[in-house]
Amino acid sequence: MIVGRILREITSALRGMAKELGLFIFGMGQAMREHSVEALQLQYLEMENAFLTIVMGGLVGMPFAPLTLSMELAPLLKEEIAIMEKRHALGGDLLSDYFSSMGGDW
Amino acid sequence: MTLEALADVVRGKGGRPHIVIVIGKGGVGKTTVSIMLGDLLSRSGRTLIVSLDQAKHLVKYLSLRETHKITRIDGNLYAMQFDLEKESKKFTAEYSRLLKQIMPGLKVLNVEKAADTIRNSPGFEEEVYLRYLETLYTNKDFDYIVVDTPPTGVTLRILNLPRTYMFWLGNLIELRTKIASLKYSISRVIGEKAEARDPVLDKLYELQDRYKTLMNHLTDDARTSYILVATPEPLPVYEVEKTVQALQDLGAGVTGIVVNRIIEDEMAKRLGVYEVQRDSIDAVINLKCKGPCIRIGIMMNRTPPDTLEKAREAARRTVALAASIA
Repeated sequence: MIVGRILREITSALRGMAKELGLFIFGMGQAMREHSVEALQLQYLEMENAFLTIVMGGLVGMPFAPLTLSMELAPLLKEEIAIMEKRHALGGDLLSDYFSSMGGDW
Repeated sequence: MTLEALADVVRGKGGRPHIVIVIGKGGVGKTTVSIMLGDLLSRSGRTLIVSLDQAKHLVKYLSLRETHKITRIDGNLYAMQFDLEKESKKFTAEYSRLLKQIMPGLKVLNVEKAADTIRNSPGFEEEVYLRYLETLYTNKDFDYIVVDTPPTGVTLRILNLPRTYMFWLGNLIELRTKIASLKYSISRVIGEKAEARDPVLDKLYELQDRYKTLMNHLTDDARTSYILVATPEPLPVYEVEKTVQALQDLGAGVTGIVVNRIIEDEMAKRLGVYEVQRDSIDAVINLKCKGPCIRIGIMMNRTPPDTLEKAREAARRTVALAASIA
């Protein structure tokens, strides 16, 4: 009787461990999968932003300047373009972007 | 009043090169009128006929061997068929090179396919036309340049572009002035070297001057003449009426209106088009123009004037429709 109960408990504990192990491995896999697409997700978000700006910009008061003017001004806007690209890169973490803009150690 | 009288009016205007812009509905004979007028003007100075119309009738009429190249036709008369495709390729290559150079990281906006993106942007073709038109005013090789235009809608959009640009430039200058002033103030406060001049603002002012000059050329009677062409039918004449109004809104007057392919009365009666033709011609005669405007007609011939010789012969069949209206 006692042996039987001990065996059941051991079996149950082993099952629990196996289940935990399974969940751990699944979680690891999930984390690796998520990590592997982080860059893609960032690109996806930026593409969504760019798409929305292109399609809906005109409706919210962001019409595009005529092509000629854009191209004439482009060579003089290198600095502004660099800032825009930097903001794109930080776009996923608004809080740190905000704190970094305030300066000091946080 | 004949086509020769119209050419005389153009000759009497000052600016060199003098640009003659021929406008009309598709198929009314803009290219033919351009050839006739160009031929007459070439007797007084070096004349270039440029066709911007991508139907490319000029290539056939003047037997041009290739497009986008100035060819001597006869005496002082030269011609060129503008090739939109070739010119567009040149611009897109230039633009995409610039984009790749200044924005190598913006792959998300498909910059690597910049050429296609630019070529398919709304208004791109009109922009290519306008850029070319702008270069004509600084051309030192010719005294007269006759521009055979694409159908009316496209032409009016091209002529309106400088005004659109001026609107944009005004807004951009206002915004950029605020940015430059803010940047200057910040630099002063934090003790950095403060640049009073902003190169972007300078460029915006330069562009504003450029388009203002172009707008002035386009509306200056001494630099530009507008000749409208129609056949004696309701729709082409309606388009002429709308064009006169559009040019007036732009601040430009019309030098002449040519009604092409007028059928002789007897023949018109037999064909049952006499009334329509008469009403259309009357509408042109009664059209109110800003300033003097010569109205002439060209009688229809059995064979179309599709060569220089036939165009010269057709030019002799011009008739006066009305005296100039001051």
